[in-house]
Amino acid sequence: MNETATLAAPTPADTEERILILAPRGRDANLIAGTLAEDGIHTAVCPDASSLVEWLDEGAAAAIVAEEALTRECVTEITRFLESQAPWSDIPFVVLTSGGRPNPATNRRAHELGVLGNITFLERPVRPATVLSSMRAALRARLRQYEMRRRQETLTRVNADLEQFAYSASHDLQEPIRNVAIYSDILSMRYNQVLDQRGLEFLGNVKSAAYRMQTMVSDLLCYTQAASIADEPVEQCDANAALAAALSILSETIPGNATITASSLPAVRVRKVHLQQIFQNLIGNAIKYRGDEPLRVEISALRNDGYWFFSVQDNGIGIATEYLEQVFGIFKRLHTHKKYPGTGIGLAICQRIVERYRGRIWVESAPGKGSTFIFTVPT
Amino acid sequence: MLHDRANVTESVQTDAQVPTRRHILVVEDNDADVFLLKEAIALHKLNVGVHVVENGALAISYIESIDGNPVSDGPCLCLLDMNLPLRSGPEVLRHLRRSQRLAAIPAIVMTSSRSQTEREEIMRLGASAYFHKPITYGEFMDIGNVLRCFLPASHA
Repeated sequence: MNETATLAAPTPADTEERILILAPRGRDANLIAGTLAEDGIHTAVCPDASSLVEWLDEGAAAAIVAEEALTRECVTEITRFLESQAPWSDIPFVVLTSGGRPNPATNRRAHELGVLGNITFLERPVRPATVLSSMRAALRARLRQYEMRRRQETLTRVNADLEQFAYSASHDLQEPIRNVAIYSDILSMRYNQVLDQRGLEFLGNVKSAAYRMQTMVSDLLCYTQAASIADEPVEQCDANAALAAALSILSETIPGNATITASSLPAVRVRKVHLQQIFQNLIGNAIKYRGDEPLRVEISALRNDGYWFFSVQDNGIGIATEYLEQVFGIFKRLHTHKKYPGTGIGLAICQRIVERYRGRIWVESAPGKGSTFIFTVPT
Repeated sequence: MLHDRANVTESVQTDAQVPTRRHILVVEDNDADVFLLKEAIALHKLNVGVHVVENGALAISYIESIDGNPVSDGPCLCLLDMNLPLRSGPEVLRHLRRSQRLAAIPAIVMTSSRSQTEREEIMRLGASAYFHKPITYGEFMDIGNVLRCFLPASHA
C-alpha cells in the first residue's frame, strides 16, 4: 500500500486525503506513518516545520504535530494557515504533547493553537490504536468538509448560471418586444384606413401588451442586476444621503399635501445605489398605495443586536395579513393593472438587495391601517 | 463632390463588394431594425447609401477588405448593433478602431440594453455616440438626427 503510494505521482485526491506528520525527533513519525499505512491512510512525513506549512497549503486532510516541533515561527505560520482557511474548511490538527516533563514554551504555544483551530491533544506515550482512531475520526471529518465544499461550489455555479441566464434572457427579449411595439405603431399610422374600429382597438391591445412586457423585462433585468453584488467590502454609506437621492427622484410623484419625515439615519455598509433603490421602491409604494387621508411617511432607524432596523411607515391602504409574505414575490401583484400600474417587482428587488447584505425585510400591516416596511442591515 | 465621383469610378472597377455611393456601414442582424433605419435616413433626407452586414464576422471582413484595397471607397460612418451573431459588437468596434483607413470614422452604437456598464465599455472602446433603441416609431426616427450630427457636411 505504502509502496504504490510512493511510486505513483500523487493525484490531487491523494494530496487532499493525506495526513501530514511533523515529529522530527525520535521514531514517532515513522511509527505513526506505519500504523496509519496499515489502515490504508496516506501519510506524508514532513522533514521540518517549513515543509509542513508548505504542504498544508498544497492540501491535506489533517496534521499530526509533535509539541517540541512547535517553534515560534512554526506556530506563526500554522496560525496564518488556520486563519486563512476557506469558510468550509476546519482542518483537524492533532498535537502530541510531551508526557513526563513538558517544555513550558512549546506547551503554551500548543495551547495557543488550541484556541484557533480544530485541535486535539494526545499525551505521549500514545498507543497505536489511539493514534489510529483519532486520525480516522479526523479523516472522516475532513471528508465531510470536502463534501460541503463540493456542494457549495455547485451551488455557487448554479446560482451564477441562473443569474447569467436571467440576464441574457431579459436582455435578448428586449429586442423582439421593441419591434412588436414599433411595428404596431407603423400599422396604426399607415393602415388605419384598412382596419376597422375593432381592428385598431386590437392593435392598441398589442401595443400596450408590448409596452407592459418591455417594462417587465427591464424590471427583470434590474432584479438580476440587484443580485450581482459581489461579496467585496463595501464603504460606509450615509443613509440620509441615499434617502435624499431617492426623494429627489420621486419628487414629481409626491402629492402636494404629503408629509414625509425622517429621523437622523446612520451610515451603513451598503452601496448607495442599493440603499437608494430600497428607499425609492418603499416610498414609491407608499405614494402609490396611499389612502384617502393626506399621505404621511416616516422613515427611521434603530440599532439593535448587531443590526440597524430601518422602517418606512405609511398611512396608506395597507395589506391583508394573508398577503404579507406574497408581496415580496417576483411579479406578485395584489391589484389590477388598471387600478395600480406596475410590474410587481419593486419589493422583490428590495428583498434581493437586503438579503445580499445579510439582512431581512418584512412588512407589518393591516387593511386601512397603513404599512410599515422594516429592513435590517448588519451594523 | 468631384472627389466623390472619382472614388465611385474607382470602386466600380474593383472586385470588392463595395457600394458605389458614399455610404454608411450598418452592422445589424435584425431586418426589422434595418428597415426602420432606412426609413429614418429617408425621413431626414440624408444623402447616403447603406451597406448592411448582418453579423460581426462579416463586419470584420468588410473592414479588412477596405483596408486591403486602398482605392476603394470606404464608409463614412459605422452604425453598429451591440448584440450580434458570430463576433460581438465590441469586437467589431475594436477592429474598426485599429483599422488603417477606418479608425477615424464616427461609430454610432445601437443597443436595446440600458446597462450603464455596457455603455461605459462601449464609449471606452471608442464609440462616437450611443443610441438606445427606443420602443416607439417616432423615437426610433431620431436616429436620423444622430446620424446627421456625425455625417460629413455634404451628406447631412
